Amino acid sequence: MKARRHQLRATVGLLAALSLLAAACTGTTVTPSGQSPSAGNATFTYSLTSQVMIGWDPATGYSNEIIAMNNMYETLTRYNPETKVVDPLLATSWTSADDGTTWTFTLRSGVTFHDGKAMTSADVKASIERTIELNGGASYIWGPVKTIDASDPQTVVFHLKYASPLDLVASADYAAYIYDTSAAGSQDQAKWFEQGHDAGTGPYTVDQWNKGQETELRLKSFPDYWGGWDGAHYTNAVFRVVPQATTASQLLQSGEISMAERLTPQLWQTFQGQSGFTTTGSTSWQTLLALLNTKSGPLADVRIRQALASGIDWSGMMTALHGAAEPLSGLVPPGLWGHVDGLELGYDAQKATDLLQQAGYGPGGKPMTLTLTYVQGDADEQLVSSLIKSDLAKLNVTLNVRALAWPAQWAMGKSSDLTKRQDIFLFYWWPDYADPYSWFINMFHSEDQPFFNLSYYANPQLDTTMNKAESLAASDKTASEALYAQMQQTLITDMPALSIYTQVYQRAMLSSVTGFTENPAYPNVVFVYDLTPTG
Amino acid sequence: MTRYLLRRIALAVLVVVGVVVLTFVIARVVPGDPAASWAGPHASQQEIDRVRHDLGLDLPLPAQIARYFSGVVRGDWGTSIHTHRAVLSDLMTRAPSTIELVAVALLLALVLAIPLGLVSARWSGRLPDGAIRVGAVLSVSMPAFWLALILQLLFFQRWHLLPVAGQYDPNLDYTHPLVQYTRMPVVDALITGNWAVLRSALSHLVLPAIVIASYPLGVITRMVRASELDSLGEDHIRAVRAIGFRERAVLGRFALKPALVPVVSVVALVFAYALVNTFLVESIFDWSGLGSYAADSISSLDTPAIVGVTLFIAIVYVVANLVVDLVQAWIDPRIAVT
Repeated sequence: MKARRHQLRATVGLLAALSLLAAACTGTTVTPSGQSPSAGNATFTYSLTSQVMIGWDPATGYSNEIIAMNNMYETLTRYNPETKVVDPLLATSWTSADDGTTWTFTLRSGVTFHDGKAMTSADVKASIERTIELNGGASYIWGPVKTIDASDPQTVVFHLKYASPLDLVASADYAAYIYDTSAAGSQDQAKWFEQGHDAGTGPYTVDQWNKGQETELRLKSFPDYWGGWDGAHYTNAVFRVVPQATTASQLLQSGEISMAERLTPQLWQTFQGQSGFTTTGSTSWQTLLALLNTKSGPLADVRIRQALASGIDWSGMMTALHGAAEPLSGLVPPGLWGHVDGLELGYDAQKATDLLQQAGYGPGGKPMTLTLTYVQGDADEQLVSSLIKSDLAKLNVTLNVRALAWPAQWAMGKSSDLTKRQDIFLFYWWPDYADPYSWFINMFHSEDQPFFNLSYYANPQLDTTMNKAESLAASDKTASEALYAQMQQTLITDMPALSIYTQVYQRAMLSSVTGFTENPAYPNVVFVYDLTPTG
Repeated sequence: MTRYLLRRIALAVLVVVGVVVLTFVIARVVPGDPAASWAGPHASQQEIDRVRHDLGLDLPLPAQIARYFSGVVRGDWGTSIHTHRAVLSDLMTRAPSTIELVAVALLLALVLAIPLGLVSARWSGRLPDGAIRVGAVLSVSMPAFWLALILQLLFFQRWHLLPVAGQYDPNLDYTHPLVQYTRMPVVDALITGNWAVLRSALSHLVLPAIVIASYPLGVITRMVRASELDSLGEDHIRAVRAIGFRERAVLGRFALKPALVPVVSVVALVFAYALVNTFLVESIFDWSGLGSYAADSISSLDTPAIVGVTLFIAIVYVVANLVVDLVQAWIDPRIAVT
């Protein structure tokens, strides 16, 4: 499940303090490694901080597995963060009609599945219908779909229940894969997948799966890939689990891995400017939010929520994070349509004091006690919590910081007993497909029973606006963007949540790996086919 | 002896059951709904209820525990909430690596500690004794994490002598594929005669084994020394000396055997410690054993997996203690009588 992806960061956070110490050591003792980085070797080895293949079913996979699946499977479209629209992939063109309630995709010809079967519109229909029917993972993204028409082998027509940007849905990093639903033959399809099989059209296919081993998954090139193998490409992709950042850094030094998913900022800096290595730092769509309890406790008063927004030294926090994060303007991160500049929170201690004093709190006023929860083991959230705590202490606000396992943190947030709920809920959010709607519908749409709206925020007008914005996204993106800008302004006024930062992906790789660009719509995914081995 | 054995086994079973019940209760008291985790964030209430029923989570706690034990006996250790895979099969893929590592580390510790302890006792109060005692304190107090990083820095980065992490060179999978029987790379390489993998696996084993051996080495050395000195003060040793046996025979043949009784029980204790210590060391050396599995399952509150790991370790621990008790009884038959 989505929440599970917290573990990515949680594992990195393990013993971060000591890794820092080690970073200091490696920083001074780095010597040119005896083994030269294995350039020219056509194997790309990607180190990840936790297990890759949580599940194997392309219909239900909703965790780390997408990092490998995006190399085995393809979607109809792929989001392009530069142009902020989707590019063709398995579909070469598409049109929408009837105000975005009918979508017609023309399929690429000459595409074959890994078992040799040619892909037709019937396969597109069958895989999406199976994904919807299994109703697991992120299959909800197909919610608008009423029927799928595959009467022409090269054309798929989606009839929707309501207007929805289906070109974006089709580019999703989960649940949008097109696969051969008959690949398992007479066997049970789901069981067949779980044995470590794939049935995609992508450039790579499973070579070896070592369940639970450190070299967890090997992919090999699929010779009949529609994109062809002209030019330089990696022929193998290996996914290796390396929980410790210090270990990953040494493996990279020695050339045993080609790229590290994530190091600590300090370790990442040791590779900057070092010959033989390339580093990239790109803004992601993984946003850290502090959901404020608008329903009960002191934060039900909007003045106090505003005071919190002004009373925290945000730029000091960014410095402490050593480049692993950037301030987030509004809710929608840069690179995603709907993003607006100039909405970052600013530090103004005087304003915070005034607001608190108006409410009877603050220096010289009543003492206030707030509870903050975050996911245990997440070093970044831990740091952010302690900085918020020390800033609030200056305002005569005592912050109780509680680190909980995710299920416990979530259960507390959903508690029906209002007195048991937290005041501040630290929470990462990123969309399941390239649509700002994800933040609004999940966290700020009114809910009778809180699910992810853990601010307990209810604003009927905003509810109406967000639904209008989503349906306009299917027909008039400019109008939709204007509504998203307006809603982000509303949220700054009501302040049900603090947009703390958007994470920066800091990758380090051998300089023999060229052509890497980050695509924040596919978190932590490396499209290995697009890389060029050199040297 | 049979009665003694039966009594020990009965106690051992009781300990295992107790541990499982305790873990079960603790895991259930912690907030969080396993059924909701299983069904995923977009599941409807009916679906969550269905999962709750399927997983038996709607039963009262004692019934759940009873259901769990009847499953354990039949080889069904439950299904992981997180991976939706059978816990027992997950454990069976992870455990061998950990056991291989701990076994090698303990063997290393024993092989070094017994002679060191003897030397220390032989020259008690003199220079070798002093040096060994300082060394023992150091090896006990060195934090495993720190030692691991230092070793990686020296042996890998500085001197390029040993690999930094992993169980063997993954590139050998292409040139010398390893057939897995036991899932312990060293053992599998040995029985299949895969010398390339064996060489690689052994060199990968050195550093983590040293780190895990560090604590047991210090403790056992000190225990051997103390207990040997005790034993040297006993009457029968004076008699042996009076007869005119050489010092070496006195130390080794006559004093060592009784001195080993307390040493063996310390080994059982440090075994448990090493097993848990492995969890940390595994993550540093990229060793895919029980440790990473336990860490994953705890952070996702994956109850069946947590209980499974706990049960497994309890069983290993209890069996190890049982073996130790039997070894002690064999060394000193008086133990079985009491």
